Order: sequence, then structure tokens, then C-alpha cells
Amino acid sequence: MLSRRHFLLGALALGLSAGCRGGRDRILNFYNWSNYIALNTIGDFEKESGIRVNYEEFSSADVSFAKLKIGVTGYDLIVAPGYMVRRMMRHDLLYPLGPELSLPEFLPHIEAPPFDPEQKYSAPYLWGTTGIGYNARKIRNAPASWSLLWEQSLAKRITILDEKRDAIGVALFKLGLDPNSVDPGELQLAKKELLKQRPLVRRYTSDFTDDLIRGETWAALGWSGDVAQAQDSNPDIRYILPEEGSFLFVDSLVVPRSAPHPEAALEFINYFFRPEVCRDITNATGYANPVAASKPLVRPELIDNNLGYPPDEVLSNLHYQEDVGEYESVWDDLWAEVKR
Amino acid sequence: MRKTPWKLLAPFLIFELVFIVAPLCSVIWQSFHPVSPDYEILPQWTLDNYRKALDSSYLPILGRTFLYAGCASLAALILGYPVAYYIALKAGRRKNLFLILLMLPFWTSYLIRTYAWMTLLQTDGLLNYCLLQLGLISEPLQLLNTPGAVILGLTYGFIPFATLPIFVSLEQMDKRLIDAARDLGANDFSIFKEVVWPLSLPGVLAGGLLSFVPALGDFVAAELLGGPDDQMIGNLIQQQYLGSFNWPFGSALSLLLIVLMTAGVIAYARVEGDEK
Repeated sequence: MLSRRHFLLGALALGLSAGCRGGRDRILNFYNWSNYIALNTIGDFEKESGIRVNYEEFSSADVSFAKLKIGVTGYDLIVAPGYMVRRMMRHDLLYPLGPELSLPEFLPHIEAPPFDPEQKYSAPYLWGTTGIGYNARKIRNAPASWSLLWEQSLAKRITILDEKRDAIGVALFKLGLDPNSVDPGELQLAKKELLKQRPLVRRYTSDFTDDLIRGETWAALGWSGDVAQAQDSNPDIRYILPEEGSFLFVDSLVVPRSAPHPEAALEFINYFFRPEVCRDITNATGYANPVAASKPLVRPELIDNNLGYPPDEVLSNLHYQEDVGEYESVWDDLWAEVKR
Repeated sequence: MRKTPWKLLAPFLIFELVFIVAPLCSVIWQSFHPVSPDYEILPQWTLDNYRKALDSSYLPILGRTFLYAGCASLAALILGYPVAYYIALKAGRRKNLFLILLMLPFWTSYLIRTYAWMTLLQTDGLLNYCLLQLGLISEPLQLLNTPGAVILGLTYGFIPFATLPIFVSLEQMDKRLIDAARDLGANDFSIFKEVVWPLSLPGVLAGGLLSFVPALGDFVAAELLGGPDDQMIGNLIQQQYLGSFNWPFGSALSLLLIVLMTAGVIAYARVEGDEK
């Protein structure tokens, strides 16, 4: 029975020595959206840099903001959507990226995103669009319009993203209004549209791909890359960017002020900007990357249609989601009223 | 000697204080504060969060929550009772085996088991396939994202909590009472009605409570198996904490649920006391 105590002591000693060794290791704590990286990215980066990466995933940008806001520290690198970058900047949660970063040439529309025009606090990671993914076998002659998501014949065959910015924004687009509106009257009109849509909605969810692939749903408000991934599993799935206009989003890499290893984060950002590294991520996720030199390298399916790199005339019809500032709670309440 | 109970209780009391009482106090404190438009908690005091929680537009969600949890708890008791009865009184030497079989699925995460139900209930899932093959339906039914699916998920999730207390009360019952009743000429039905059922009632009440309370606070079943009209109070609370940061409102909703639950438990305890 003596052995158990010895074992415990031994384990403790081992743990301590591992801890000490950990102190000398270089570490990067990376917090990313789920399914938003290539399988080989982290491993290759670790091999080359000697930095050990602790990789953690979230499924909602709000959760990552909540964690930072309540003072959860330890993350060195976070992927955040544009409006969230703005919000984090407003709350002074971000570390200025500084001159250590060697920015490559970006695609023209990524060069000065409105949330951080000088790219002082954020480095663009991946970008994409909000549109409609649909099953072409079930829906023939789909119109290039948001009205598809209000189509009575699709009752209970539609899922809507559980993201207030996308769902309410689409209603505003459909009405021909400013998709970032803070006008109470306009938002009431949007609410009416969404309440009209509600009886047709199967589920408000951001995990829309499974249902779409299995044929459980026929149309989904969704994001381009996710639809591209769904298309890999079910070739009947198509993507529409409606004529009324839609959202362009740029998710960015940001370094929180509380980051214990900001230098490792900057090293990863520089690594990510290599054309072949971000090409792998684009090919795996279906989301375009910002690096101009990487575009010719990605798989052709993502170039040929609107999914990965929409042509310029389509791009000009896309809008950024802007931080609505003090109206955040108005949007929240509206969304809660629609959903309940 | 007199100090011993305190020494024995100390670890539990400290645990309670740190992990139950302190967080609960913080929830109570938050629920009485307003938030700024950007969800910063402000230092003023207010009752607005409670007014909002009791607003007529949220009451249907509360009613639905109690309805779904009640149905699930009732279904768990109806399904669990025969199982508990069999294991306690008829299984003999294989009693432990059956108990393990009863618990076995619950070694898997609740989330994963709920996902499993999604694949069973989907339009081209196993259940629709069987119904179609049996000729009971001619078109696949929409089973997923319905109230029935949510109640099914809740029932399945909490059925061991309903079954085990019934098992325990039947197990502890003096089996000679059954023989005595039979010797006195009672048939199987009257033995059950007059002897077994009354003696198992504390287990039934405990099992009902133990499955009802967690079902009330659950949000996973409604999130994954429900549709837009099946949201429960747990979803609303989760939304406030992780979606829109309105922690004070989330706190008020949580406390409302706790108060209603406590009232329910007290009423339940009264009934149980009367039975005894």
C-alpha cells in the first residue's frame, strides 16, 4: 500500500517538471470559430516555429466577446467578425498589432475595412458573404431574391441563422432599407417581415448545413463557406446572392490586451499570410482569404461561382455589417421578440 | 462530541457557500440592476428586469416550459415504473445487470444522445422508414422540431432520475406484505393497488420531482429537437447570458424559475408528508 503514496508523489513531481518545461516552451493560445481552419495548419506552424499551440473553438462570436469582457484571460489570438472587432476596440480590449506585422498585398475590397480602416488592431483572416443555400432538386427556378425565404410553399423547410445581424439585416435588405439601420420605424418594419417569415421557419440555427445536406430543409439563410462545404457533401446544393444586396463579412485576427504571448500571435499572423498557408485554409473551409497572391492558388470551384470569390459587380452590391453601438440592445430585443 | 456534526458538515457547508450561495447572491444582486445600452451593469437599483420577465410576451414561454417538463416527467414515470417494478421484484439474481443496463446509455453525454434522436426522427430517419414500411403512413412525417420531439428528448434525458427512486422504494418494501396479502385472498390487481402502489408512492413522488426539476431548466432538447415555437425558459436564459449579455435580465428569469420551482417543491413535500 506504500506504492500508492509513492505513485502520487511521483505524479506530482512529474507534473511540476512538466510545468517547468512548459514555462520555457513558447506557447500560442488560439481561439477560433469551429470548422474555420485547415487540418494541417496548426501542426505545420508548430513544426516550423517551435511554438506549441493550444487550439480552442467557439461556435458564437458573442461567447468569445463575453469571455473577454468578463475578464477571462489567456487567449493570445482570437478570430472575430468585423462588427465585433469594432466593439472590442470600443471597449479597449485589443492590442495594437504594430509594425512587427508584414502585411502582404490584400484583395482591393479588404484593404480598408470600415471597422478598422487602418488595420491597426486587426488582421483580416477569412471573408465571405451571407446568402441563401438551397437544394436545386427541390426548388427549381429559385429567384435571385430574399423573397425565397418568405416563400409559402417552403413552409417548415427553411432555417434562418440565429444571428440577429444577419436575420434582421436580410429583412431590411428585402424592404430596400439600410441593412445597418438604427431607425426605430425601419426596424419595426423589419420585425413585421420577420414575423411573417416565422411560421415558415423550421429552426433558428447557425448550424444549418446538416439539415440542408440531408434534405431535411430546402433553403437556408447561410454563409458562403458553409454552403460550399455543404455542396461538397451534396452536389444539389446551390448558393444565391440576392439582387437586393447582401452582407460581406471579414473575420479578423485580433490580439487581446490581456494576451500572455502577443509575439507568438504576431508570428502566427505572419505565417497565415503566406499564400500557400491561407490557400489551404480557404480550400478546407470554403471561405476566401484576403491575400491577393493566394487567389490564383485556390480550388477552381470557389472561383467560378459566387461562393468563394464573387466577381466585382456582385461585390459592389455587398455591404459590411457595422457596429450599431448603443442600439445593440434594440437589435437584441427585436430579435428576442421575433424568436419567442 | 457535540462538535463532531459540525466537523463532518464543514466540507459540505464550505462547498455550498462557495459554489451555491455565493453565485446565487451574485445572481440576486444582478437581477436588481439595470444595464447600459451596451450591457454594462449600472450601479442603480431597479425592478425593471422582473417587470420584463413577467411581461405578457414571456409568459407563454414560462407556461410552455412547465407543460413540457410536466409531460416529460409524467411520461418518464409511466415508462419507468414497470421497469423499476420488474428490476426490484422480478429480476432476482440479474437485478444488478438490469440496473447497469438501465444506466448504461447515460454514460454517454446528454448532448450526443440528443443528436442521436435527431437522426432517428429526421424525415428520412429510422422512425419514418419503419412507419412507411409498415404502411402506417404514406408520406414521411415531420417529427423533428415539434413539441413531441422536445418532450421525447426531455423524457429520455431524465428517465433514470424517475426510475431509480421508484426502484429504491420498491426494493426496500417488505416483500412479505405481498405474500400476506395473497394469503388473505387478494388477487394480483388488489395486491398492486392496496399494497405495492401505496408503498412505492414516496419513490414515485421523488422520481417525479427529480425528473421534473432538471427538465424545467433544460435548454438542449428544445434547442436541438424543437422548432421556433418550442423554446423553453432555459433557452431564453441561455440567450441572455451568451447571446445578448443582458445578464441582469437573465438573472431575473433564473430567479423567477427558482422561486416557482421552490414553491413547487414545497407543495410536493406537503403532499408527500400527507401521504406518510
